[in-house]
Formats: sequence, C-alpha cells, structure tokens
Amino acid sequence: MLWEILKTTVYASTLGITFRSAAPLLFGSMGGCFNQTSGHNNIAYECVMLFGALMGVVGSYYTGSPLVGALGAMAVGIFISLIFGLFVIVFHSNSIVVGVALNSGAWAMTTLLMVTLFGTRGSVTGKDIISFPYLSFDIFARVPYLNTVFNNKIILVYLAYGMIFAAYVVMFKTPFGLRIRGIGQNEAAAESVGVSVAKYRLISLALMGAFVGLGGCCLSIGGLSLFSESMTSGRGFLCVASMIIGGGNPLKIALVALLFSFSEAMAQILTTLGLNGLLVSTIPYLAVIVVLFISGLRAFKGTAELE
Amino acid sequence: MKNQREQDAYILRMVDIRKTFGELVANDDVNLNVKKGSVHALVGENGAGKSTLMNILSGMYRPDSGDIILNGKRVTFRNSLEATQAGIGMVHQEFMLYSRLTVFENIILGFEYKTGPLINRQVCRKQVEEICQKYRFNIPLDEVIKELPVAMLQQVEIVKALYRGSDILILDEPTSVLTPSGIEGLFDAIRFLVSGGKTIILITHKLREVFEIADNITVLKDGKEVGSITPRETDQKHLASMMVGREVFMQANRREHPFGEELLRVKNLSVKDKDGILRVKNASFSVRAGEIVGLAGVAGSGQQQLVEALFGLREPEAGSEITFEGISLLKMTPAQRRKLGIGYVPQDRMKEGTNPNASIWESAIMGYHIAHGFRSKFWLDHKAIDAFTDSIVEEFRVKRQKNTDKVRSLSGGNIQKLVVGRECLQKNKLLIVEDPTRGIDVGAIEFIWEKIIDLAAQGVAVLLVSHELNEILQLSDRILVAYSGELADGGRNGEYTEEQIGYLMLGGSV
Repeated sequence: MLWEILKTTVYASTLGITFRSAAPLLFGSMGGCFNQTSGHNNIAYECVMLFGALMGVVGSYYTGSPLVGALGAMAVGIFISLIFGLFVIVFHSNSIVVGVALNSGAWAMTTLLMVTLFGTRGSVTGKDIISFPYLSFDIFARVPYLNTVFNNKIILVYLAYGMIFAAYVVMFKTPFGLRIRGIGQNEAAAESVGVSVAKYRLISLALMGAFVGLGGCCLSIGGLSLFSESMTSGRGFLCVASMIIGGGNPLKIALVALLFSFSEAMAQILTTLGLNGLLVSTIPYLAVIVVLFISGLRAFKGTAELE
Repeated sequence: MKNQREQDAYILRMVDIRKTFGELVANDDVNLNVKKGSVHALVGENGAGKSTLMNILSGMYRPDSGDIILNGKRVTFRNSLEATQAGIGMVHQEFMLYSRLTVFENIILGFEYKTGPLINRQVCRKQVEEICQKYRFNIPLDEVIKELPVAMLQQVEIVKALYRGSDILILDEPTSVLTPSGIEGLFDAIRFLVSGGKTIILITHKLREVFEIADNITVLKDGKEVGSITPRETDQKHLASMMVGREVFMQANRREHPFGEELLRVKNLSVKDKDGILRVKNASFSVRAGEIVGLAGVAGSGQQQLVEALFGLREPEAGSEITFEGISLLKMTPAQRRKLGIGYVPQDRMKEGTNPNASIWESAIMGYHIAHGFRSKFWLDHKAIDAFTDSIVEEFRVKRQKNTDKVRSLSGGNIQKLVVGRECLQKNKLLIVEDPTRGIDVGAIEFIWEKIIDLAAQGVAVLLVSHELNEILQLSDRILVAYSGELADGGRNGEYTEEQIGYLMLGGSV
C-alpha cells in the first residue's frame, strides 16, 4: 500500500494536476509578494480570488470571451485591493481586521451576485460560459509522460510560470523592487530619502489585486466553466502562507506554492485509490503546518533577545 | 562692500529662524552662518533647539518664519527630498538604514541609475566606489547591514549622503554611538571631507570634540542663539558657561538633616548597551539613608544603563558589585528588588511608568501587585486598591475624575504625580528617580520636589538622575556627574558652582 502511495507521487497525472493547479497560487503569491514585502499584513487574498473567479465567469458569460473575463477578474481585484488601501493606508485601520472583514464578506457578496445575475444558488455553469482553450505543444506531445504533465493546459497556466521569473526580476533588479524591500524594513528611512511609502504600497496593492483576481479566474474559466460558492476553498490563504514562508524571495515563494499544489494533487489522486476522501483532503493543509514547522525550526536559534 | 564679500563666503545662512510647537518656542529667531569648506559645530544642552534647527534645514520641518539662504539664493524645502536635491544631507542619530539589505543597496536606494526599467548596477557601483576611494571609506559593500558594527554603519550613512551629491553634511551627535577609536576614525573622515570641499555641520555637546575638529561654533540655549565664535576666541570653560547657566526661577527648600547608614553600594559597575558598547565604566558610589544623591550629565552619558543595571533591567559586566543593605542584588529580578524596598520612577512615564490604556487604579498598583499589598489569595482586593489609589490622588493632588478612568486621559503632570506617588507611598527604603519633572509645569515641579525632600527627611535614600542641572543642584545633598560612562565627583551641595558642574558634564575637570 505504501509503495502504491509512493508511486503516485511521480505519476504523470499527479504532476499534471500539480502543474495546472499551481497557477492560481503562483499568480496570487507572485503578484502579492510585493505588497507583502512592503510591510502590509494583507490577508484579503481569499476575498479577491473569489471575486476574481466570479468576475471571470460573468465576463465570459456576457461577452463570450474568456479574455474579457480575465480582464474583469483583474479589474475587480484592483477595485477590492483599493478598498483595502483606503482603509489601511488612508484611514490607518488595522489591516488584519480589514482583511478578515473582506474575506468574510466575500462569500456573501459573491453568492448574492450569483443569485442576482444567474438566478441559481450553489453553483453556476452552462454553455454560455466560455473557458480559455487548451493549448498543446509538439515538443511535449512526443513523450507521453511530458504530454500529460505539460500539455492541454490553458494559456494562463504557462503565464503563471512566467510570473515567477518576472517577479524575481522586478523584486531584485529594478528600483521598484529595491524600494519595496526597503520600505518593508524601515519606512522612516525610505521616507527620508524621498521615497513615497504610500505611493509604493498603493502600487503594490494594485498588483496584488490584479494578479490574485487573475488567479481566481483560473479556477472558474480555466476549463471547468463553473463558479460555485466559496470555490477558492483556502487557496487565498495558501498564497499568504507561501509568501510568509518564502520570505520575500519570489523563487522560494514559488517553491512553497508548488509544494502546496503538489499536496493538493496528491490528495486528488489518492482519493481515486480508494483512500478515505475526507482524510486525504487534509493533506494540503497538513503540508502547510509541516512547512511552517520546518521553516520555524530553521529560524529558531534559541531564546529570544530582550531587545 | 566688505560685508558683501563676507556674505559670499557663506555657503549657507539661516536667518531669523523661528519654530514653535504649541506653547514651546523651539527656535527663537536663530541665525546660523556656515562657511564653505568648514566644520561648524552646533552646540547646546538637550532641548536647546539644535535638532529642530537641523530638521528645518533638512526639510523635515518647515519654519514658522525665517529664511534659508543657500549659495546666496533663498530656498524653501517642502520635504527632505528637496533638501537632498539642494545638496544637504543629514546623518541622523538613529541610523536610517535597512537592516536586511546590503550596504550597496542601502546607499543607492531612492537614487538608482537605470538602463531601461532595470537598475544599472555597474554605474551605481562605480559611483559608490569612487566616493569610497576619494574620501577613504573602507566599507564592505556586499555585507548585509545587520552584520556590521555601529561605527561602520555611520560610514555607510555618510557615503549614502555623499552619493546623493550632498555638499553640506549634517552629523547629529555622531560620536555618541562610537568607541574612542571609532571617534578618531570619524574625525579623520571629516577632515578628508572638508579637504575635498565639503561642509560639515556637527551637532554635539562634547567640548573636547568641538575644540578638536570645529572651525566655527554656534551655541544655542533654550531655543535662542547665544553666540557664534571660533575655538581660538574661547576656551572650554567659557564655552561651557555659554551652554549652561541660566536664571533660576524655582527654589526648593532643602532641609539639612543627619544621614543614616549606607543603603546602596555600587562598586566597579560596568554596563554594556544592547549594541555591546560599554556605556558605564567602573562606576563606584554609595547612597545613605536620608540622602539625596544627584546624578547629573548630558543625555546618553550612561545614566540610562546605570539605572537599568541598578534595577535589574540590564545585566552588568563581570566584576561589578551592587549591594543593598549588604545583600548583593546582582542575581535578583526587578520584582525581588522591589520586595527589598527599592522603588523606581522611570524616565518615560508613558512607556515604562504606566500603561496609558489602563485605568488609573491599575497603574497605581503596577509593580506592587505582587511585591507587597493588594493581594488576597486569588483576587485583587479592590477595596484596598481603591483606598490606596485615593491616597495617592489625595496626597499628590492628582486631578482625575474617577479611579477607573484611563491613564491617558490625564495630563502629563498628573501622570507623573501618579507615578511618583505610587513609588513614594510604598514603604520603600531606596528610591531611584529618573527625570521626575520632565515636561511638566512649574507648579507640579515644585510639588514633586517637595515630596522628594520630605521622603529623604523621613530617612529614604534617593538616587536622583536628571538631565536638568538645576534640579540636581536644588535637591541633591551630594552630586555625581556622568560623562561618557565615567562618574566624576560633583561635591556636596554648594561645593561647586553651576558652571563648574556644567563643565564636568561636558568632560572638563575642576
């Protein structure tokens, strides 16, 4: 049995699911890592992602174009992140409280919108909702294993991996990234050399909103053409967890996000082996705890200093 | 004509600068004329208005009135960026650095050279290296800030300012964080900078440094400019009397009475601060019952670390001895020290003295809820607490509505009375009092002075640490003077004049 389970870790289908299901996490964490690094305790990812998923469906339904859906998802993400910015940057509200409020309200709001627009509860689907088409590349098609892992994915999945590289370059090679990193470590110092902390935080927030929203629409119009209540089911929090563990380095963050996606894929595959579905579905969350524990151990260097 | 030429020699003139914060006049029509290529020392006591003046120059504050004339042109700075662009760079006392970025990143942040959207590391690097070479700074550009010693960080700050094209560098008490060899290094750097055409404004209150490095001196006192002179026209004693010495408004009624036995005895006490710099060096002194011992000194001379070590908030170096009634205190926690009868009025009443968001009664028993009183088996004894709070309120005339009000609803003077009352009304044998009258009005000051004198008359030993020289002179039976971690004997009350004590505070000897 154990051998069976071990074998599933290298199944082409496992890795294929990993490759695909990492897309929302990668968009979310790569787009959000600047905001995180700039020193915002922003946990509203769940909210933005859920709205992104809904807007993807709505845009696609009314125009027949998944691209419009994706753009709508980005727009609604920016809108929500600016609400967050209004409270946290302008009114100096507690960012965690604002995040919790947005996350809690998201389920109610999206469900209400779904009922209003589509007249159904639970989930909405139909032939009018057009997903992004699947792409296939010949170089992968030649090897069946690679074909399963890398082919038949929507364009957003490939773009998500491009995000890793882009985020890395922006974070470490541009003035924007340098300033964002500086602001997160010493606001007063950044202000003293004429870097506007509010401006950079606002830009980073908009980036977060746009890409978390885009990540959300990967779930709804990434092949299934379906929106259901709370369909993000914790993926927003997985983005937050990846960013915290990755510590501001896009490569590390991506690695953690991939680990989470892998455990999600394992959960799906193991269910088909006849293991208890409920038990198996805890795997991604157990993975979070294990990773947190290990990264905590690494940082633990004895007792804390007084100052 | 001659006057005109003289004015041209000034790279910077600040004319009739005035800045008020509410009632307080921080700068009262101050003038500052700085010659190009000189080291200009700005000296004065704490609160004399030096930092305010420099914050105006660096664009952090805007003056109420007055002009800044830079290279003959009138300028106004709306923010620090504009001051930076005009060539004014400030090295703050608290370093403005990013602890997890490298030295190189710290220097270029905010002023990056670019190719397209990317930082052009080569160009930036070349610029930084050229500056380091020209002014002989030897700093590891690729090290992360938090791994570096303080002296190095200061050099990073200076290079950072130079990289931004600063012609005038303001150094805010740069030597306070440095070791003697670090200070030598800094002065060498300053000399190089000046020979390279830069102008330095040095904020300090250490006389020796002024005479070692400065070309010109401007003295501030209570927000006013007392005078501008060159080191050749003056000597340390004269300069000290310019800085301190003021009219005495308040008079305390000190009472002569016999002292009891020695309660607190400190021998060879050495204390390092959190950065590992030795801030108290081999201090030895004692306090007898009924005696008020005043510890004078400019801020940052080691008083804070000394008091922290006495009260158990910071561990002293090996070889130090602190005894109270013959018992060694070294291994004791603050709570145990309180139990022995040691009270403490901390300097910062909002951060350490009280919890501003707690009620008055909670702050009234803070620190004593375990040590003595107020504790029934499991629950707080609200009757006893209320009675005690009322007694503070009554005896110390704290103006409050009710005991359940938040501490922050009280005025500063009333909070201070609450803290002093709490420590005085416990039957303590020794009271360590830090700046008991900081920032409160005259009436409250006289009242608190009276209470401290009463306490001593009842046989309580008092160690009074204050940055107000007048307070020390008014209250103390015996005076100690701290200067960069060492204690000098300031004599019995009246043995030395105010000027002489002031001179000791600035590193002189009498």
